[in-house]
Amino acid sequence: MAEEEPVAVEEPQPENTYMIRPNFLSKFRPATVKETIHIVLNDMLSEKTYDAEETTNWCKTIADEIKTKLKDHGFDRYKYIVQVVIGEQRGEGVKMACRCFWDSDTDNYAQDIFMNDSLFCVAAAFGVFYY
Amino acid sequence: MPSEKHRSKEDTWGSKELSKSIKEATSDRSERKKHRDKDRDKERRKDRHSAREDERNDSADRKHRDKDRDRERRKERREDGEHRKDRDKDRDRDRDRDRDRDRDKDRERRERKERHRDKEEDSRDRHKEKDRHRDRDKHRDDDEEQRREERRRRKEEDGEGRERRRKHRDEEDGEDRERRRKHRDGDERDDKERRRKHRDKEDEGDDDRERRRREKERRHREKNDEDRERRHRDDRDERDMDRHRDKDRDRERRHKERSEDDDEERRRRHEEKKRRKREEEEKRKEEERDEKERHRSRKHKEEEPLRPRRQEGKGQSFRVKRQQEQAPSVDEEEVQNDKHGVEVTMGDDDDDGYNYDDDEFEDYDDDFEDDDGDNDSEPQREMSAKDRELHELRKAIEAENMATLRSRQRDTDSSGVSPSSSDTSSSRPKTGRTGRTFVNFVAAKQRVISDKVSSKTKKRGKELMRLIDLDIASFDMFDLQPTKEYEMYIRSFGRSDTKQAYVQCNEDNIDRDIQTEEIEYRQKWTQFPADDMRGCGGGDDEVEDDEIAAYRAIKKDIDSARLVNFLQGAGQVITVLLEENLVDKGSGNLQSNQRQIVFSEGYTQLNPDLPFLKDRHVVHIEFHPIQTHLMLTAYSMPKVALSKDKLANTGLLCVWNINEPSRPQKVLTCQSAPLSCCFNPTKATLAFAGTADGSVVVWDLREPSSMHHTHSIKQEEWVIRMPTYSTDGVHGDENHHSPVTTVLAIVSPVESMKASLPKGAGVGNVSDETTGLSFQLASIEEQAIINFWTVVEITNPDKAGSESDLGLMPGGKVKLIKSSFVKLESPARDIKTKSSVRAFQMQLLPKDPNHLYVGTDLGCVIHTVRYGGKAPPKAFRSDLDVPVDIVTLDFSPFGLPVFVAGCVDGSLRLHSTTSEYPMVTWNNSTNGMAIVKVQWSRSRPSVFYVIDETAKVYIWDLLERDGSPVKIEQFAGGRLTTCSLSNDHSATGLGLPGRRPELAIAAESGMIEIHQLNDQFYKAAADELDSVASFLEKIM
Repeated sequence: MAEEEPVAVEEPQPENTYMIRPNFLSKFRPATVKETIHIVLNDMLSEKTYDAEETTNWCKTIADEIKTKLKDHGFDRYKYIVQVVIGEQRGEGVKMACRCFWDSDTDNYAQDIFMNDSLFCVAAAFGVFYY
Repeated sequence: MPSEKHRSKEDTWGSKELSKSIKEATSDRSERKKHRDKDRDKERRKDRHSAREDERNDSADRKHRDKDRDRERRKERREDGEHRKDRDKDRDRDRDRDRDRDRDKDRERRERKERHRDKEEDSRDRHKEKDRHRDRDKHRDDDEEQRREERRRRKEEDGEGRERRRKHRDEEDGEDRERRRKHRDGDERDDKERRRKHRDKEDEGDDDRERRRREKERRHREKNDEDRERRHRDDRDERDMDRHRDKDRDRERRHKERSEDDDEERRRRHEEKKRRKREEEEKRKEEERDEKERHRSRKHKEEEPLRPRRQEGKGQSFRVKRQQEQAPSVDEEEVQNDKHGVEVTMGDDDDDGYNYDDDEFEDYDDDFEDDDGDNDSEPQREMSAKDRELHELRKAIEAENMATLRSRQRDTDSSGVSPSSSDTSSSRPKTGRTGRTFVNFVAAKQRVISDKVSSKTKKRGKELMRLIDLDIASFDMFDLQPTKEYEMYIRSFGRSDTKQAYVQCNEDNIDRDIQTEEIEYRQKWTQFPADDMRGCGGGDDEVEDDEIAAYRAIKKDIDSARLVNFLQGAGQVITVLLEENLVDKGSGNLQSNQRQIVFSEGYTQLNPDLPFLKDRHVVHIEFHPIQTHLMLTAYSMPKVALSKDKLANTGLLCVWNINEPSRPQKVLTCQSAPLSCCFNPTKATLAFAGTADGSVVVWDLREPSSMHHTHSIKQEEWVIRMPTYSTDGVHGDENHHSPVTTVLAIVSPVESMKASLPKGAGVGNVSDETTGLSFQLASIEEQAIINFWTVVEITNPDKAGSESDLGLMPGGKVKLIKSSFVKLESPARDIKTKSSVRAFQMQLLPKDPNHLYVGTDLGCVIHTVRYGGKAPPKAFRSDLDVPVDIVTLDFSPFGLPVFVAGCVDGSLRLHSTTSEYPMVTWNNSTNGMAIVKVQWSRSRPSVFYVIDETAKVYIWDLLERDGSPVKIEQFAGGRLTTCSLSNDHSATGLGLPGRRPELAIAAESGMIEIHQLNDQFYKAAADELDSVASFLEKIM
């Protein structure tokens, strides 16, 4: 459904000072990010029912919230792509997949799903290392 | 155009054609507009010539007006494709206005034409000059002849399009004019716009060559319509080109012109006739001047870069007007047309154009006067700044153009401007773009910057890409299965105040989940035939129904098994007592003999009327050696098969209590006819039988009747006992393969005595069942094979039956295990006879049951032992060695080493166990009748009984007479089949003490008489045994 192709955007720098790998401590860790996403999703969406009008805003706020929280994690030199999809639960099957063309050594992604009776929300955060 | 007039848009325009032409038309027009602008510039220049004397204000007004118009037009141009039509309309409106004016001034025009004709002289001068230009132009014309043709075609289409638009225009004319005015009013406001115009101008300057080309194209396009005009324009174009080649020069010239023209322009506005003439003159002048001024300095030109543009509006309307007027003549005229036409129209056009201009713009002069100062000075101010920016701007625009070009190439335009051809023939699209360039200028600037940046990043990226590996990672983010219908239903309806109970609608939905109820499981067992009261039962510790529980409760109170046991025992005792009472009272059953029988006190007849014993006769009678009141009788198969009766085809045995002769105590059955039978030696707990099919069967008499079938025969219940164990097919090769003639319990005399000793208590005292249960059984078949079986009692019987031992009845406690066998061999030396030994009766030596004596058909009694080597007399032969069947033999029960053997030829032989040949042989004692049975008396050592097949009983008493029987008794009732004597406890120490010995005689009729021996044959003399012994020694 959603296909993200994060392309590392480079910036002119003095020659040969590239930082190819993130500091180990500040590496994008899916587990913690997932936790973050989970918290955000639960905060924002618990006790909410699907509302076609509102979901756009929810998506934006959730995505922003996740993004700001991710920034707090201090994953150095990471660019984030946060994708939030909210859909109504009407019994249809939904399948979402993403494909990333990136450097798997540094880049990663985390996602979490929130579901209640009326809606499902899939939030995915892609962390792309900025060389 | 006229050629196309008859065609309506409907019948000539397909949608495809239309869209194409519209596109072309719009692009053409935009180009044309520019060219028109230039034309107008030229016109204006002319104007300037004439109106040079006019005040600066006036010209400024005009400029202002032009500017406004420019602005307006540009605005229109800026609009999207869908608004193009409106733009066209606006332009058309201009044209329309011209036309209206034309109509108004129709008369005037006619006059003018005449005037023109008059003036031909004047114009001819001009023509000469023009011709010169034309000559020059012609080179180009020739070059572009082909292209022109093509364009002309396009132009025709254009014309049609314009025609169509004109119709709309008529309707909206007034309103649009109104609108335009407003535009003009409002448009003065921004200087920016003016600046933009400057830029445009410069743009044009940059694209000098291109513009020229465009101009040419336009010219050719309009050629058909206005050939003459075209030629005229060519002249002007020529000038234009010159100007473009050297723009600055041109500008300077124009500046000068303007100052001159101002005066005339003013005049022209107020005085038509005068103006027209002046104009003609001026044109000439201008042309001349052009020639001259081309070489002048260019200083002044820089001051008015916008001038030409500002007269665009005028120029346009002017041109359109001409076009309309000349339309009828256009088609006929080709590239080479006469100068006259050109001249005449030229004049016309110019006049009309100016007329229009005058009328049109005079109205607005006042409105714009205030702005004049600003407008005039503004461009000049701008220009100084412009110089500095110029270089930068050009670069930016170039970049922008490149970018747009690139973007064009990317999205394939429906207009069909292919990327490859855009360079060569991009004049049209480019003009369209130049109109937009100022809008995107900032973006273009940014693009230049970003391009710089991106090139850097690209470089960086290249270097980085060497260091890192990119790969594709795919993730499944979310997979929500579609809800099933049922779940959907439950979700929408299953919640509110309802509870979903399971329901099964379709038979194929047999999932456990949708079953309505729990499946109940219960373990049950059943047994057929039932071996207890129920024949079935529940599993262990499961919850039971109330029914079953109640049943169980009842059953707990009434232990039927115990009750049955009790009743059996008690009933037996009581019946025996009752029967004994009867006997005591009036000698009861003991019937007195109808005739005198020498040995009999009386007899008891066992009930012969039992239905299942009908047509059967007794083949063997066996008293229990100790419990002498018990008797086992083996019956033959019925002579006439009672097909209905279940028992008809089975062998039968009966256990009788002689005290209870009315009915047998137990009825035993087996598959085949029994030939011999015996009790177990100690207590009457087991019964054995050898059958005609070669099996040995065992009945455990202790089994409760519940384990066996109850047959209801003639309103009487009979428990028919099935064998507890049968060797039927169980042992396969080890089993007997011919009728079993004799079964004997091998019991040592010591054991027998022991078993007898405690007896004395009474009939019912049958305790200590365990003693002596383990003993051996010997069975012999006709083919002279003796099998020895060990009788084994099973301590934990399996009610379900044994899987390994198929001969064992479920729940049976006794089984036989074959321990060894002996094959009897013929003692004859003749090999022929060796193979076939037929065995009849087997007897054990009472003192040593290790020795076996078997009567055979060889005329001898074969002697063998169970263990050890060979016994000394291998066989006991007759003196004559006649192969005669020795069917019966019997040992003396008193320990004397002698036995009597009876043969079918009626001879009797008295053998000593130590001698091979008989001590005495009595031939013809029965007159040759076959002897059936020989029995020593258990009471008197000297007496034995012989039965022959003629129902005679011969009583021998060796002490009394040793040559013949002392007494012969003839029995009635048919052939006698067998007889048997019960042990006399007083004589031999075996049997029930105090009970008188009895002789049981069975007849073929099924009758069994049990005779109580009388005193003569019961009470032996004290020294009788010794006498017999001495007698035997004597005859040996």
